[in-house]
Amino acid sequence: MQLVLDDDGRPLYAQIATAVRRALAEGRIGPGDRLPAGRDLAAALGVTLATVQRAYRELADDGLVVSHVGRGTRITPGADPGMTDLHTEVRRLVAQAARLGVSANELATMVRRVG
Amino acid sequence: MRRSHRLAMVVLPALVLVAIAAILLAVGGRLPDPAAVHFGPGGRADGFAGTPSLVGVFLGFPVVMWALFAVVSRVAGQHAIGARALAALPLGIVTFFLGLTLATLLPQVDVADAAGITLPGWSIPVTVAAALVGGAIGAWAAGPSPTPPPATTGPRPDDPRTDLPGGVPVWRGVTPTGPTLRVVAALLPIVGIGTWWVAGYGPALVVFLATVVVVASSRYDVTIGPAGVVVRGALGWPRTTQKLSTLVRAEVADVRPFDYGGWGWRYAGGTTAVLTRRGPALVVERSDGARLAVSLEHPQEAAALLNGLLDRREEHRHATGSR
Repeated sequence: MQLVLDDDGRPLYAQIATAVRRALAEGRIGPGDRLPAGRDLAAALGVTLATVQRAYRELADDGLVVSHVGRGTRITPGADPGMTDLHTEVRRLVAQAARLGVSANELATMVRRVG
Repeated sequence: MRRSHRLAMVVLPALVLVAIAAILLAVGGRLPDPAAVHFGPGGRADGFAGTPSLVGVFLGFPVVMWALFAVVSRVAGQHAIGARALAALPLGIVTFFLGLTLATLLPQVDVADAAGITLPGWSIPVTVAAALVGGAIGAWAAGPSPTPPPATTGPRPDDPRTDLPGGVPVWRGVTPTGPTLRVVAALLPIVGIGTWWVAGYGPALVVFLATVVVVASSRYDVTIGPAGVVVRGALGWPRTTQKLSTLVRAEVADVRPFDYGGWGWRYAGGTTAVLTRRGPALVVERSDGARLAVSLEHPQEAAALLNGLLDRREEHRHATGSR
């Protein structure tokens, strides 16, 4: 299994999270697959454990990965790769709203009105 | 076979066997018939044999053992870490029998009836000492195990390569499970249940613990990235991180766990070996000559990525002019 970080100047945790999302969207990893252990990935990348944990937490918040003590972090069984795209779109939307001074709450209200 | 190994395993044991034969020839006619060949507690004779059996016990048995260990050592190969110890065994065994022959037969020379023979107190220590001295001479004659060739300066042109994707790649793999480990892991619980049935839960617990140890040491995680290589046991330990800055090149090589003392996490002759089966493994060479060998399902992928990262590091060094 291979992840590729973009090295695009964004915070490293965001680069790691994006690399996992892309690998999932491209089918290079699938539901149930194990991600590198936090400590291993941190050592192999030369970043702190906290950076990797933050990336994995972000992915877990999106429901893309599940972590179990002693069993590592896996892609959520049954995770739909399509969900990654949706999460990416939502992130972009939130970022654009923020630029326009629209808060996440206001954005949510806008989304509900559309739905 | 190297000359030193031939000396330790063939020439010297053969000389000792000739010495045993000479002793049997020299004293054979002056021994009681039957002669004592086994001694009970207190050194009292309790086993007797006629002259033909004497030859079988003192000459035939060591010849068979010698041949057996010579074959084992040959099969094991001279690069095995245990090669020196294996080479020492044939001489140790035949000198043990030389001591045994002397200790058993000398007290019986010119004695009419073997029934009254008692083994002298020095016989056991002398026999053991003979075996140890023989083994030590064998190990000395066999010479040290061969040392690995010196490290190179960077990946070689014919080492596996990959075109690195733009960006920062991270690779993760696990060690495969070889057929022998599978069989052992599958049989141990059955042996455990059998042991429970026959001997109760105490001994069975030991077997189950052994199963846990076997399973825990049968799977390792490998992570490779721009900072280096991480190898870690299934339970998080043992663990090693080899920084990219200390590495020189990576290759794929066929390895045998036997050469490193067995499966699992081993250290032998400057190589840290994490092997779960016989076959292709990722072998990483460090600038200080030390090596790391890890069984992998796709060692080619791992070696290619690592060499790509090392090439990139070299290009970076040239570009910035730093060494």
